[in-house]
Amino acid sequence: MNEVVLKTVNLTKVYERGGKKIHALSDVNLQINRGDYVAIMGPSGSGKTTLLNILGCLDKPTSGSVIIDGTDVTKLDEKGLSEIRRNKIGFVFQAFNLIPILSAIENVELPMECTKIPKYERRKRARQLLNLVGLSGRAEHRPHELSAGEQQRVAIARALANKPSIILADEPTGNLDSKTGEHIMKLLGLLNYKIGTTIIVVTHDQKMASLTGRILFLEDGKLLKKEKKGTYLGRKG
Amino acid sequence: MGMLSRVFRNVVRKKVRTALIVVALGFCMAILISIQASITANQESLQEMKEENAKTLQSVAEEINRTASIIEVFPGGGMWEFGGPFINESIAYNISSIEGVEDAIPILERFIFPNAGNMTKESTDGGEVIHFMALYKVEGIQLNSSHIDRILPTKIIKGRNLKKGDSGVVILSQNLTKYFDAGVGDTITINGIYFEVVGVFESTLLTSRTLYMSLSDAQRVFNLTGKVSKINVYVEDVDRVEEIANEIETNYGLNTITYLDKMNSLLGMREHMKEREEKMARYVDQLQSIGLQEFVTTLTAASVMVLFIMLYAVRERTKEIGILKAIGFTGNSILIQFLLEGIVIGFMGGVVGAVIGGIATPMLANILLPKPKPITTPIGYATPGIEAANPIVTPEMILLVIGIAVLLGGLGSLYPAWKASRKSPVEAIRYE
Ligand SMILES: Nc1ncnc2c1ncn2[C@@H]1O[C@H](COP(=O)(O)OP(=O)(O)OP(=O)(O)O)[C@@H](O)[C@H]1O
Ligand SMILES: [Mg+2]
Repeated sequence: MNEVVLKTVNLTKVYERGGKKIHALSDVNLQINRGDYVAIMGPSGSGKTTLLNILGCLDKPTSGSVIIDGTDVTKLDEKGLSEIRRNKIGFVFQAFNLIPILSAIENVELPMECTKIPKYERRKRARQLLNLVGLSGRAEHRPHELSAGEQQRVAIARALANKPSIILADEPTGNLDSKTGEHIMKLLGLLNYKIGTTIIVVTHDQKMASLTGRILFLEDGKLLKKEKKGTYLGRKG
Repeated sequence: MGMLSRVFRNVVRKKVRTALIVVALGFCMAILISIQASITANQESLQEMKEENAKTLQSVAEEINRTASIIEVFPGGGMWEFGGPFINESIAYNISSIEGVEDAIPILERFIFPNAGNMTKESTDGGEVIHFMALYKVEGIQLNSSHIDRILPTKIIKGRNLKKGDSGVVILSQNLTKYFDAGVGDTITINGIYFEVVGVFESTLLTSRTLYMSLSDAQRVFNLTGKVSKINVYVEDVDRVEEIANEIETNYGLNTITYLDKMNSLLGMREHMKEREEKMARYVDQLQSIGLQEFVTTLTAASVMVLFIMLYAVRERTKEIGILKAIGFTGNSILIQFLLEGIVIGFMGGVVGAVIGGIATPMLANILLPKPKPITTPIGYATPGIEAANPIVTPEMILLVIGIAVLLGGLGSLYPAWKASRKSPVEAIRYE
């Protein structure tokens, strides 16, 4: 039942700046089960973004390994990494990061461009995903014609395009007011409930974190032993 | 929603950038077109000149062969001018009775000038010369002579040749049919006298503006009864030509031109033609080397331009590249996308270049390429100096240039596209 979808082993990231070593992550051992909705909390500079980038194969660790769906991604080359990013990971950013020249539905279709999914199928799936995030009426709008919350919902639909194993969201509510942020957190919970995608959200907002099922803490690049349960009960609950 | 349509949108979205590079590239391509068009046209013109010269020399040589046994007799005295002097027609009959002479045909050869006396002054090495531009030449020939077939043109294209007893009729060179706007059966006037055109002959360089009529008709036209300007004397034995020419000179005080003199004039003409060909060839060489320099400069400028603008575009879209990578795009597909953008812009530049080139080629060629140096033309030959040929833009050239522009767009964006494909996704996304 509790299948591990994501695991890190002694994950360490060291930056060097001006001869000084910065331990952004030190020996992080993390285990996430399939279908979890997890928040990672921690003060600014604690290494949250660094961790998420490494989990999402955007960045490489200095040492240690990341295992996604049984694959040690730290051993992959650039091509293998982009395959993982394409098929296993969905990213949601704080700044939404939609492509401005594309409409909402085109943004959602974009990740499918590098796959074998036939064209008509892409359009159909993109429409379903927009429905899922409650934006069926906004498909043809460009990002600048959408509100911040709507843009983030398009970004979430885009993250889901290739049916990833995990959605990684770095401060997805950071650019939103608290009410909209709450909606987004609840939407993520709903998606987790409906399709069972594993979701990891980074935030330093206590209230947002509490809307997930499990809360982890990062401090000075170290994962704390203590963990908290959130209010989200998930599919099991 | 495929990569191509995204490429097009990116091209269209950056209107100023695209317009700038397309217009600049277009100008470069137009320059290439006009250089190429001009060089090609001048090469063709050189080729034509060579062929024409060869033909002319051939016909002159034939003419000389045909007239090897002729002595041309002209009025005596120093300069013979357009107003005279003339030879009395009766002298021709005296000459024909000289022993060894087969026949002596009196000819009245006169030029018709435009009313205003169209004279041009031309500076040559020797000083100033007055160039008379005759409209055409009238050859009046004593048609009762037995050798008229050796004077009259040989190739009749329409109608018939002149024959013994003809009066009130002319035959025209091909060129003159255009001048008179008349053909066989039409009537033309010369100095107020009417003539019927009975034939048209294929003209050579020497007879391109000549018409033939009977001697008495010509004497009537020019009011010169009993006068001729020239006598063609036919000698039975070619070896005796010089001897008889001397006899005519001493006995009648006339000037003569023989085959030998004509040979010299042929050599002079060949020399002149060779000079023209060499000048033209040198000019084409010069065009090619200057054209090549400009070609290389233009290509370099265009590719550097594409390079910098695409580098700027890649930098400007760093974040977008990061996002694409984050959602699973490979470095290769990003490389292809930027390469395609360069190629699309290159294509647009090529098309704009083709349009500008099509319109402005003569002007551009005029600005970019040197003109041929003037050449002095000896009087008596209808050979003009050399001129730059009008550049001709061919469809192949346009296709070639569009191809070059596409290639430039691709090559110029190769490095920027490669750079884009190698960007680290983390850093690219953080870029603002
Ligand atoms: N490219 C880099 N080069 C050098 N140091 C870096 C780099 N990226 C991050 N760091 C350092 O690593 C540490 C962790 O940074 P990180 O961005 O992961 O923190 P964070 O928890 O996401 O903070 P925030 O809540 O402010 O986003 C910080 O000390 C940061 O200065
Ligand atoms: Mg961060």
